[in-house]
Amino acid sequence: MKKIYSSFLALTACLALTAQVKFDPEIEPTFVTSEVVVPASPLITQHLFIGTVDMVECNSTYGNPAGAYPAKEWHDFIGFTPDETGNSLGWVTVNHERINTNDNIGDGGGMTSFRVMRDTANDTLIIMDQTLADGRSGKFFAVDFVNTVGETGMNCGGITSTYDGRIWTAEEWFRTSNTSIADRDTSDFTIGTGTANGQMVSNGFPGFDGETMKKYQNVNWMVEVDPREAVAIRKQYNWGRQGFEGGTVLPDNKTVFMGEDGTPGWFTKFVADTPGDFTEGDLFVFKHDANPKWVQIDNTVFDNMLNYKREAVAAGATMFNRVEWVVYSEATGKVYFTATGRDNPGGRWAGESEDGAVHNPNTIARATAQGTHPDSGDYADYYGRVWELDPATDDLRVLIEGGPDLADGTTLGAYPDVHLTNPDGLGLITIDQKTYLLINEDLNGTSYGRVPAEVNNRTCELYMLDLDITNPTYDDLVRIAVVPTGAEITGAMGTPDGKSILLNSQHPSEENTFPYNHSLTVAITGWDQLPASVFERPNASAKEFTIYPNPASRMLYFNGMQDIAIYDASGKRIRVERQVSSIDIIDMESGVYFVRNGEGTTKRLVVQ
Amino acid sequence: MTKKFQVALALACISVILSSGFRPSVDGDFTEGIKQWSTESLQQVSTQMQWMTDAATNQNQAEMLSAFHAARRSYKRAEFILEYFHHSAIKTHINGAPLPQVEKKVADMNVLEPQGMQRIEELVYEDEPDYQEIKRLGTDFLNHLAAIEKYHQRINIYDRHVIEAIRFELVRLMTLGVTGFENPGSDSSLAETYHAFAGMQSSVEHYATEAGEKYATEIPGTFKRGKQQLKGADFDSFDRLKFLNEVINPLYQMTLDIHLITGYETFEEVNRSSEPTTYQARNIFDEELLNKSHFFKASVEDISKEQIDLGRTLFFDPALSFNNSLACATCHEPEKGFTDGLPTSASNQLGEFVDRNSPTLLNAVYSHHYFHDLRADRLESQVEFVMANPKEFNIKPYELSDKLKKSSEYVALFQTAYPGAKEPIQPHQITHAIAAYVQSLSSWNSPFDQYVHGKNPDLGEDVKRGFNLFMGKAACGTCHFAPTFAGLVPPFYDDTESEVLGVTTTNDTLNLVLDKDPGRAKNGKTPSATEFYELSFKTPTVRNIEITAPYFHNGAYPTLEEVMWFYNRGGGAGLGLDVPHQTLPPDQLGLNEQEIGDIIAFMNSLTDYKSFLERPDHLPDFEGIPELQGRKLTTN
Repeated sequence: MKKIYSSFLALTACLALTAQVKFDPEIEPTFVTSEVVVPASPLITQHLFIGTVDMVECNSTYGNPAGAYPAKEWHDFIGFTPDETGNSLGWVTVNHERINTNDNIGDGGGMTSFRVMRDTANDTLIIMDQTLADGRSGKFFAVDFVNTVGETGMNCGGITSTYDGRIWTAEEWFRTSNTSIADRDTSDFTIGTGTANGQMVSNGFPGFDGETMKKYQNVNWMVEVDPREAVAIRKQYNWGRQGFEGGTVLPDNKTVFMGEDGTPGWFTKFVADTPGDFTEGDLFVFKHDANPKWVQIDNTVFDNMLNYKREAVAAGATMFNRVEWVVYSEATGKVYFTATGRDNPGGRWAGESEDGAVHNPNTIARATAQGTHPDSGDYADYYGRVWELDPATDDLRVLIEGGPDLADGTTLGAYPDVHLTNPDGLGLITIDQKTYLLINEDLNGTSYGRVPAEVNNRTCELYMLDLDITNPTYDDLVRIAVVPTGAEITGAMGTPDGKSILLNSQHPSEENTFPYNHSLTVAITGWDQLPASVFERPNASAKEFTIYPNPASRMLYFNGMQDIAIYDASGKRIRVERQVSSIDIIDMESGVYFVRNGEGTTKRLVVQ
Repeated sequence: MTKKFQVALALACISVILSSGFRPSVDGDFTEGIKQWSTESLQQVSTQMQWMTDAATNQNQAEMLSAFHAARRSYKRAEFILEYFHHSAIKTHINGAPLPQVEKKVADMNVLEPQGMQRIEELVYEDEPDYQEIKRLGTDFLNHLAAIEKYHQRINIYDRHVIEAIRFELVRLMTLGVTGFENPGSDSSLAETYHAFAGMQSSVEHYATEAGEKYATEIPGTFKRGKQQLKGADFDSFDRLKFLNEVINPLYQMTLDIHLITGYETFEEVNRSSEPTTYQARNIFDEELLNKSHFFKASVEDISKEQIDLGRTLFFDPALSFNNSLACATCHEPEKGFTDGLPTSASNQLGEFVDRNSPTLLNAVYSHHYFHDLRADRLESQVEFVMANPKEFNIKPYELSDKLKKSSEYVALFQTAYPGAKEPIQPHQITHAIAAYVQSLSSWNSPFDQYVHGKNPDLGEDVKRGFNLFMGKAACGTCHFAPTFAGLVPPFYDDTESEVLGVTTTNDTLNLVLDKDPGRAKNGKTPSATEFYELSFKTPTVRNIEITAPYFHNGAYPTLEEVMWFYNRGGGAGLGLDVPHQTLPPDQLGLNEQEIGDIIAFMNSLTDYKSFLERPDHLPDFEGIPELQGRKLTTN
């Protein structure tokens, strides 16, 4: 019961409704009025690819022999290249967001490629045996960057072309000196040749062959890879050197949009002269207050490409706060990208602002509402947002703002399960002709309401958002996965057939038992078999205590916000949730439980 | 102007705003009252810091100081609530250590300069304060505090939050409060601890009353005792062991009892995250204080005896190195507390040595980072680094697994330890088994632990004096945090720290040369590549230090007396070396010979390794492979 000093408990019963209920630590599990059954999830979860545990086939690097070596960890972006031949489903590529030194796989981060087909019995994915042109054979292949383009690093996001599934990996974490890269060979790098110390590369770049730069400058490019042969094709030197995170290629096979994870971060467009040939074309940076809104940057001058930021500032480009992933939806014809936010960006873009780069209207409006200026140290951007660009009109708007900002007086609502915090990864899945945006959170911090007030609570969430909704609100976000401490979700994307979502659990986590206590690529299959109601919040309008289970997302919804306690079969309290309208039961093993609400109503819960 | 005089002046000026502890109203919701009171406390801090900033603008040092002290006191009174709910924001902006930090979770290197009250405190006492800088820091502080306050008004505070906040604060006061962590060299630590302690009293009493007669009686008495001990106490002579035994640990136990009796849920039933702490410990020296599974990054309950036994066998087997010259145990001998007694350890070439000193593996699991330079984040990757090091095992994971597969005995051992695996002896099983063994090497049962648990009443007086010095005047405990006495930061134990000491290349006191090993700055991790991590090394545990000589990352100091000499002189900077980012204060500690002896006696009371001397009875046979026949178990 509520903590009341007054002894007039009965008289204050109305007050008690708003106060804290105490749940008995143990209950007698016999008297239960009704039962709710959560059927077994119709979805099948597979662990496809495990860091350190799975072995990847490598080419000879630095004179070391070719062979199989334990895969790198820190899985991030997932690319998917459909197999047009129909002999398989396609190729999956997984980024590794590291800069460490590794003798055999190559320094830096890297990428792993593997080919999958569907098991006709239950649609699960089978990883196929392959023999590549360079003679490697096995299941998992390290994409060769060492011998082709001269190393890579911090492979974060990337691009899957909407036209044909061509893949680029993004080298994020902007490097500013040779001491901050893992390469053992830090002699100058020449495009098309290799390093001064003699590490040779096979692939150059038309127009830039022979250009020489410091070794660290050979990272922070978009790098095209061939997932079929597990080799890098070229660094996209004509797209500018940026702390890239994500990008997308439109169905015209010419237009590329990409973003930089920086403060300021730029939004960039490339238009190829010839469809499918991305080595020649025009480069533009977004400037919302210009007409047209894209300002061209001369990408035939290599120095401009090395100093993209200088050129963007000179163009007076629009600044964003950490652009992350970019996707294009054929259903809506729009480009979506996340700007994950940064607590106090003022000091990071004040210089560029002074030199002529401009703030986007959203930033200005937010700062004004906060009574300050974006360049000031007290401007705060805790939660980030998802942007939407119409490539036909260049209209840009915020699709959904992170938050709600608990500080501005917004009602708490169903916080935290509809609290969007630092959206980062973006994916798409089309199920039964309906397209959903998959939004991954990646917390910048735990303060200011990003997570419920708890010490060390770092839970990240994965949401689905129906793109038919023009002006979505927080209530339209459907939480489909919750990942506990440390195990950040990355790379969530839907396979083109709408059957599977692939995602990465980036860091090892206590929640996973050995050997799954490593970075994991997970496939969740069976989405096409689900009724549409799975992707909606139930109409939870019952007056009395009601549980609406969603067997696919493993969520329990309740009739309104309330306090909830869960007891195990023996009547021992195992979990308490305060003021929630839904909870997830992902980690509840099948069995019998009891769910009691704040009014003392108990229901039997059978988890199958 | 002397510091003491300034404080006196400041105290004389404090009359405008007085902070107070929470007094529950007679009717209404208790947690709602806590929320209102803590919100008001934030507003008080804000008002007082505004006053301080104005005084800095007017260059009025006396008023600036009195306002600052009032703000500190208001903050301390509500610290238990504010730290619990706003831990990360407070650490970054409000009351974090006055050191530069790397901004987390961003894709570029951004150093956040020191900010918050501890940084301000460093400046306000200067003979000629930098008023401009104080004003800037004050304004920044107010902005961040306003953001916290706005959010604080929106949160729901539940009863369990309040009790948990109290219990974390008890750990904080013992490990950071009375040790002077926040106010090095200042007399105000104990006064501030008093306010933080007193600020919790009415809350604890509220729940004690709910828990029953026993607690309703005992809690006020314990608080009274604690306040008596703290009131007007002198920093150097304060009896910290008495405070631990008579105040902190009894309250730590009683508040857990109260929490369980009142029946409120605990964070273990609510929080979906794995936390570094459990909610089982009744004494802050209980091993249950820390959640080993959190550090191991997998549930230790799932580790089988067969896996640990296999790990032990691997640990002692020189077949793990490419030339069969080194086992883990070569550099980590159980009898030497899992070290080797060498300045830097033997390499795989006879007569050659690796770069750094072998650290103890006892209780090693309780860390967020491994190696002196903090390059690995899990025990398993720690093993991988040793395998990859050209001077150590110098063997690739799959080469090692292929090698071990030549022993049918090993194949059988792996099959038993990892039943159902696709194939026996995979590289990740090797690292897992060794890590499983290493995590088993934890014990908190030294003579000092036994004393704290009331099982060893005969602790020497020198040891007791030594604990008080360690946790007080000598300031050891402000980096070697209780209860691990390592760089694992209380009270949430969510970070492992490194420090710049300015260690010299040798113990030659006449010929002091700074050791230039870059340490953390060159550990290969992106956020480490910053100048303030140059010469920075992980703070190792002091447990078992008696048997783990020589000392420091380079093993340059063979005895604890010499180590104490180094610290007593203020480390490298105190010895006159140029160590720009030294985190150890360069001040002399002023410890006399007896005090140094007492501190060493205390450290020697933390020895506890004898339950880990077991060796495998033999090494597996490699039939028909001559170079692997006759491998010997390392001996001490």
